[in-house]
Amino acid sequence: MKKKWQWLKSLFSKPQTYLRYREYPLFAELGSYDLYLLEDRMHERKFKASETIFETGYPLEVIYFIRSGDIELIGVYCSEKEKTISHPQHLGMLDMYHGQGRSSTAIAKTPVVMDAISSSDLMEFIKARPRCGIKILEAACKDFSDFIFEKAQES
Amino acid sequence: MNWTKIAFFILLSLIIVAALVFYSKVFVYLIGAVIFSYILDPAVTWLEHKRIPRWLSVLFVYLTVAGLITWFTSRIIPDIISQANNLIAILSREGGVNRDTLMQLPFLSGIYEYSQDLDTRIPGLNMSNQFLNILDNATIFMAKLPKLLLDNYSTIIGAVSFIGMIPLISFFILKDKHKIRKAMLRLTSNRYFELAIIILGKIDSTVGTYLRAMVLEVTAVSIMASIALSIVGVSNPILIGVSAGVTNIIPYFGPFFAGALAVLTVLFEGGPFMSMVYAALAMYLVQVVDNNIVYPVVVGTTINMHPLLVLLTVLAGGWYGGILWMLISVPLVFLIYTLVSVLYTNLKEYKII
Repeated sequence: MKKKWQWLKSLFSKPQTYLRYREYPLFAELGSYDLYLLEDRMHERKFKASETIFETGYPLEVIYFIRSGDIELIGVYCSEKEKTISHPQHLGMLDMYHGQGRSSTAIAKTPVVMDAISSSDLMEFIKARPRCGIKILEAACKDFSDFIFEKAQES
Repeated sequence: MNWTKIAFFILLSLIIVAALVFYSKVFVYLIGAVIFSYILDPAVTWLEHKRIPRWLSVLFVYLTVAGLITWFTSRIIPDIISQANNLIAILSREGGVNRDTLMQLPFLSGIYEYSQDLDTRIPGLNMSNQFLNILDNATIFMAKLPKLLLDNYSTIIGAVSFIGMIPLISFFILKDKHKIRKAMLRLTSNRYFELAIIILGKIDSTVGTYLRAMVLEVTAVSIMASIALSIVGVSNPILIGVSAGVTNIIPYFGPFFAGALAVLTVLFEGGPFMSMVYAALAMYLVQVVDNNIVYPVVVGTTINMHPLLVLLTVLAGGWYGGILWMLISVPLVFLIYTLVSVLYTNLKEYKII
């Protein structure tokens, strides 16, 4: 009976591999089932060193989460007009809410592996699971707040 | 590009062509399964968001749909079959429908007497003979109708295996929807990745929304037409109502077919002229409610095409491939138009062209 119960339970629990998404600040507070749902919407992308990921003015459709490697950002929002970002930072959240397309150019400095999610998939996910959405938006607010203070200190 | 790469792409192309030829026979099954999946997907996704694993969500939805179909089959289908038999019986009664049978109908005999009266008043008019010629042509057409219906029934029976296979294929499409999407996107290069996501999203939203809206509209019009025809006392209301719902998908022509079917049923049964007017009025009211309430709410701006283009597309579809193409030509043209415009805009924005 116990074995049958464990088997039944295993059908509803999701593998621990999805837990690696918790390394990204945006998803740090999400439960394992939420991460499993996110996994369905995530796409792994690999970039070679010096490969352009996107350019200023491109439409924003995808938000990237850096799993490994360094990325050079060149654009209006970057400190000192140039910035290097790496794991577990992400690309695109700020531009997504701005709604004017990409505000910077991103170039892989080293070989880069990223998890990519479509912005429409992310918004749909937030709307479909509001509790989970609040956690993501809370993390995004913290991110924006850090960015604003960083800019304020620079000026 | 070196020779190894060229050889690889040639080999890949050959494999793709061979696969297309090999699987061409089941392509129709796949399209049917994709359509079925699009209709059920929101329910599956909703359950999945309620912490039910996707495979179990698909099973739940399948069981619910099977339950509804069983209920529909046990409650409505016997009525529809008896009504269909009734209609066929009217059309193929002893000796078929001939001029004499039709002249027994009060409405037609009234017109004939009036035309004879006109002939006596206006010499050389010969209207009654013209009327009899029209009746003869109509009887020839009606004699073919039962055979046409029976031919379609045999087609339906032949499609049972097709209908049986669709839910099976659809189960895997629904269960592995995200995996299939991920596999397709994995094939795209980094340069076209975001563009591919936009295009897939557009296909998903356009096709999905349109198909689901159509299912809802067909159901709504079928129910409304059945109720309206029952109220005005037309016989076989469910059969005509369901026909009205299905043909309603064909813009402009569909509602006319259903209205004509309702009026002809009253005519064949020898009903009074006013019953025909009531039947036509009932179908017109259904169209008014559909055009002003159901369509704007359910379908909305799903298909935002100029009415003239819709009319021309339906006509061209009809000429090209009959009723089936009349049904699919408008959404197909709209989908292609949307994809081309989205592709063009994004290719420019991503500086690819």
